Amino acid sequence: MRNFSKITLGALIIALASLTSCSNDDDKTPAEKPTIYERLGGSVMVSDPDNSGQMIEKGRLSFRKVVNSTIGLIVADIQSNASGNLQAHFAPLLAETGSTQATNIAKLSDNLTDFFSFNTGGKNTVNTYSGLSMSAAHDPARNPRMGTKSSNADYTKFVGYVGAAANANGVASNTELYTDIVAVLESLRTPIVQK
Amino acid sequence: MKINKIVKKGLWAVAITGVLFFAILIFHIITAKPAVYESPNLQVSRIDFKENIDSAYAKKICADLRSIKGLTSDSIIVKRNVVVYFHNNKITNSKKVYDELMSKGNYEAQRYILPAGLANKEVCPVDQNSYSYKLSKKINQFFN
Repeated sequence: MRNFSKITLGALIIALASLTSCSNDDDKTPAEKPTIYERLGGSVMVSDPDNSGQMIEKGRLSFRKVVNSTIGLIVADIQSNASGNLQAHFAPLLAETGSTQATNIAKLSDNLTDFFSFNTGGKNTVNTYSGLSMSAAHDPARNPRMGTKSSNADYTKFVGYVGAAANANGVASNTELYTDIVAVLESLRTPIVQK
Repeated sequence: MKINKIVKKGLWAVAITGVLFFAILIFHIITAKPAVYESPNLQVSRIDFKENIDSAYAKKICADLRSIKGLTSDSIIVKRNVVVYFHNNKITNSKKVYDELMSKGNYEAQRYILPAGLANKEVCPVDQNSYSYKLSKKINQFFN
């Protein structure tokens, strides 16, 4: 009887050990991939280089720099009466409105930064996007800052500008981060292309 | 006497409607949130050079531009014969930047001025130093 108890106890311990080890194996799920926002710096607070005394999330600052560089590259290509550039879409950004109100580029930069930050993992309130839907934002009839409707070729060109801007801000073309950013842009093609 | 009653009722109706409209106005003032932008005075400007810019020339132009007060930390873009930069329009404007840049080097370039037809006319010429602007801002800040 005593021996039988010892054997039972031994069997129980072995079974428990094997179950525990099985349980450990099951828990080894692959680590969740960080969001694009996290990979761009996430919610780590850094000082805002353009607003003295203010702090900004590093992920948001990265997006803002890419957004502004994209706009800059588009503006650099604007040529009067030349086809193929995005002049008709973006030229109004160059209009100087004086310092009495928010500029067109300030509004666009803020809206785009909010949109990309929020939809790539920046969930803090500062990134809340409260602008128009993608479809409305790209329809000149519903958004006066939109010069004209976009064709498929226009949007492909825009994605190229974002890629070049990402490169200029330290995101190389051969990285997973770059591929993921392009994938986000491609997911928006349908509501944006309206011509 | 009867006319007096009708007039009284009419006055009451007008007064109640007035109070109701005033209450709606107050409600809108209290709940309206002004749009706040991170860098409301950000402006993008462009200078077109006569010839294409090589890398050494680009470095000099960028260094000269960076030494001008009012430029933001955004990248200065040099592409072919064009330079695009960002600035805070409370501190400077495209003409001042252009004039300062020209005084720093023997550059052959001209400021890009947007054709009138392409400029967005959606502007509100409020003078920020005016009494009415300051008062309305104070009221807005009180509620928000």
